[in-house]
Amino acid sequence: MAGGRPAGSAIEMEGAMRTLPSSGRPSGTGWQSRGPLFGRNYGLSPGSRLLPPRCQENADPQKMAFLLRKQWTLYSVSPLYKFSSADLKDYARMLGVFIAAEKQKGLAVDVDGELGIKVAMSGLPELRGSEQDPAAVLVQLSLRSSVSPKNSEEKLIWSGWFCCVAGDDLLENLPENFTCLPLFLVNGAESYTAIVGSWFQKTFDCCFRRLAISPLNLTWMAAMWTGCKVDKNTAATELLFSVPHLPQPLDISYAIHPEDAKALWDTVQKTPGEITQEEVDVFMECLYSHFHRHFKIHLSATKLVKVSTGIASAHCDGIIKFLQSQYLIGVLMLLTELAISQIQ
Amino acid sequence: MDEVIVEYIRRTVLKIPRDEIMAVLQKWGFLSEAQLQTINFRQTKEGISHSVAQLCEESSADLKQAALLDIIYNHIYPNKRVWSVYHMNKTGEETDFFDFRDFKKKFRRQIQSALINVTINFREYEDNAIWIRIAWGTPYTKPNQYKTSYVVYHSQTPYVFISASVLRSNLPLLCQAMVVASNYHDIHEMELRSHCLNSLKDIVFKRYSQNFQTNYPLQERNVLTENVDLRINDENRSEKERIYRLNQESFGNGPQPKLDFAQYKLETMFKSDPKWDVLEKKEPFRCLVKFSSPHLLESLKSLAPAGLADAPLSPLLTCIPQKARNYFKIREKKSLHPGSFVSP
Amino acid sequence: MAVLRPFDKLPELNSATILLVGAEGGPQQQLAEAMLREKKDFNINIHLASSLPLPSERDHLRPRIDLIAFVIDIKSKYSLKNVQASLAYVDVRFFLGKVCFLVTGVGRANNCSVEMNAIWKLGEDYCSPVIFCELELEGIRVATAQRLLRMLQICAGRVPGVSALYFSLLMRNSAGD
Repeated sequence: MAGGRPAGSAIEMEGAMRTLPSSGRPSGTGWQSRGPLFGRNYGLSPGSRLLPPRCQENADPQKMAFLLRKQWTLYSVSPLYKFSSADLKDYARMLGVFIAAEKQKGLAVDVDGELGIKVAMSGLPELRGSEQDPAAVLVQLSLRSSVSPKNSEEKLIWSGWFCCVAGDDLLENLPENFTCLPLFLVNGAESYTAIVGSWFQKTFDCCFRRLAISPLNLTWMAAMWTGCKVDKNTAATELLFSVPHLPQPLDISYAIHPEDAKALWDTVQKTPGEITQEEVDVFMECLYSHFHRHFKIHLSATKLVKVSTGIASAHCDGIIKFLQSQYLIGVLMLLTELAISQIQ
Repeated sequence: MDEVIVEYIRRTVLKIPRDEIMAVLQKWGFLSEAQLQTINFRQTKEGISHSVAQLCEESSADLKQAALLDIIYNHIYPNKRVWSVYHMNKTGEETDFFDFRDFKKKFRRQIQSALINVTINFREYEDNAIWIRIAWGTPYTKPNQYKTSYVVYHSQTPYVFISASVLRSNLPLLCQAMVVASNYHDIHEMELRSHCLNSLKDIVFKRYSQNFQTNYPLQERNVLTENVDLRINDENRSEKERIYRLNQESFGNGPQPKLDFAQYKLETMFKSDPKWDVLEKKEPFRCLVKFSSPHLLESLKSLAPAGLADAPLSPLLTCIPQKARNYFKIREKKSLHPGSFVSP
Repeated sequence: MAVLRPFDKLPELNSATILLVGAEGGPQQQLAEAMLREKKDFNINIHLASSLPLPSERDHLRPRIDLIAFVIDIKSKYSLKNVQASLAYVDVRFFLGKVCFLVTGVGRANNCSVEMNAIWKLGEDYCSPVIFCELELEGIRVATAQRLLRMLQICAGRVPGVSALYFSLLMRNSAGD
């Protein structure tokens, strides 16, 4: 008979260990990569994150425009073996061949009939945190026009991009020949995602996993994004809670006027340069208690499933929408962090 | 003209669940029993609809018949539409004898004086309910049978249930016609809306079981007597019984009217625990809260017993049936009791 | 008598009492039933409460409580706050080995609403073991029930030579990283 955490309790702990890799260490879930264990911690208190940076110069807003206002499904990707950003054209060709072969086998969705799928791969050097991060890679599938193959009228049917923003912790210990692009975002049919994913997995020996976002991380997003300064009329800060296990399920949408939400956050957030867990807790507590005062319902006992603000919206199933290009890098930084903690 | 009508009938039949098509057609009464026997109900719905269309064409179904079928369909399946409730006011006390023919004449005249291109059909049901179907056109085009509004009016009451669906611009005309035809003075929209027409009727006609004090001994319930093992002691038994009793008082004993949602616009002050040292604004904290559920009131009723809310539940939620509304605007009450709310 | 005290009542012959404290709707009832199904050689009383303080009108009927297990569901921040508020009503001498924290809901990280730091801190501040157990799974529920029974035996003084305090020190030392 053993005590709190040693071998005798392996059954209980295993479950916890497998799904919450950091639960064995005292520095908290999801961001132990910023804790003292990795040596570098930016002088942050445990359980803190840096304030999201705001890009002053909009790096070519047109290029970024295609990322905005689209729904992206998130995956975490383990490091790619022998991937070179110089060979993108070759990879695109190989992937095209693979897709055509899959369609022949009848495994692919054949809504498109005999039209061919054109694959394009390009680099997105703007989407990175620092020079150390590898440049982002964009994969696009387009439908060839039936009129004439030379006709450049192609319909974009699927987009996916790999990126890494401030992935320093993973990059540090990376062996040679590996490229770290831990975050993968997809917009398009699930069937194509499966094909492209399996090609990458076969070719670069990596592993894709759906990236879910816990309610705890959603509260971080709510707090961080509410605090971001936005110029024009922006959307409300909306929190969506779900109570599924009742005889009749209930959804509660709680939207706060963005100025009022920001005013509240500004009085809560006191530590210069960083956001602490405690500040996020107080912010959420304030919102919960205001709600409780009116409705007598404990929102903290329900499940937070979606957060929408003026700069982005995130759903717990791992779906994100970017609404402002200024804070794109900041949001990607947070998502990269979540992806990395899922890989480790 | 004929093909349009026949196609319309066919599409209406397609909406009906397969097992119930026969019963609906019998209610309609346009096709004879002999004709109905010739339809093969074992084929797909698509096939059945074509068979019916064929028979209707042979029997020269006209617009009136097609409209009647649509009314019958909507009468049996009213929950496919969203209904809003309107209330009419009379100046005098006299209750005129309701003359259906007179009503129809006035209604038609009022609408057609503004817009000639409409199809208007009436049907009276046993419970004094008059169903009116209006298919709208424009000054330059014929009525579009697929763009319909429905009005349900109980002639002995001042309440009108309208399902406008598209073309809300015709709503004022519709309301005016109702007022004139029914000899009332004016009409205004109540803040009450739902898919379930019967529940809306229950609420405004006060046909649901309302709050009442119960002095019945608690043995009548079987809620808390499942646990017979005396070695397990529920310390909170009396608390649970208190919650149950309060719930019964707030919601009543019987089944709740079925509503889909309730929306609250909050413009109250933000008050928080002084220990947090946060926002102390003089202006209201603006929020919009929306509760949604397949059966909202039952869902709210189950919150306190599930430990997700305090009992008694907030009057803002329990007053929904009495106040007959599901849109609220809540402002701070300027009284001696902070924390009390007034809803206009 | 709002505060629970460990030694203000006399023990009963051949029996032990455990109090499970956890927010309404949690797995306490099923855990209690699992404990009752286990074979044991003494009488066991299980008290369930959603929070402390316990209703005072039943004070005189209640036996001495030997072990308090606080149940926290990491899917619900409210369950943590509920436990934190209840801890104020426990006499300090209970924390000499007669209290433990059961953390459930750890099965899927996607549903985590509570920060792990807060849970560890709770265990440290109150010098009591934190046991992670996915009580929604039957196997783990049974294993946890067995554990609790063993702990209950010790806390009720039914294992000669091992006191609650000694046992808790044993668990904490082996648990430290």
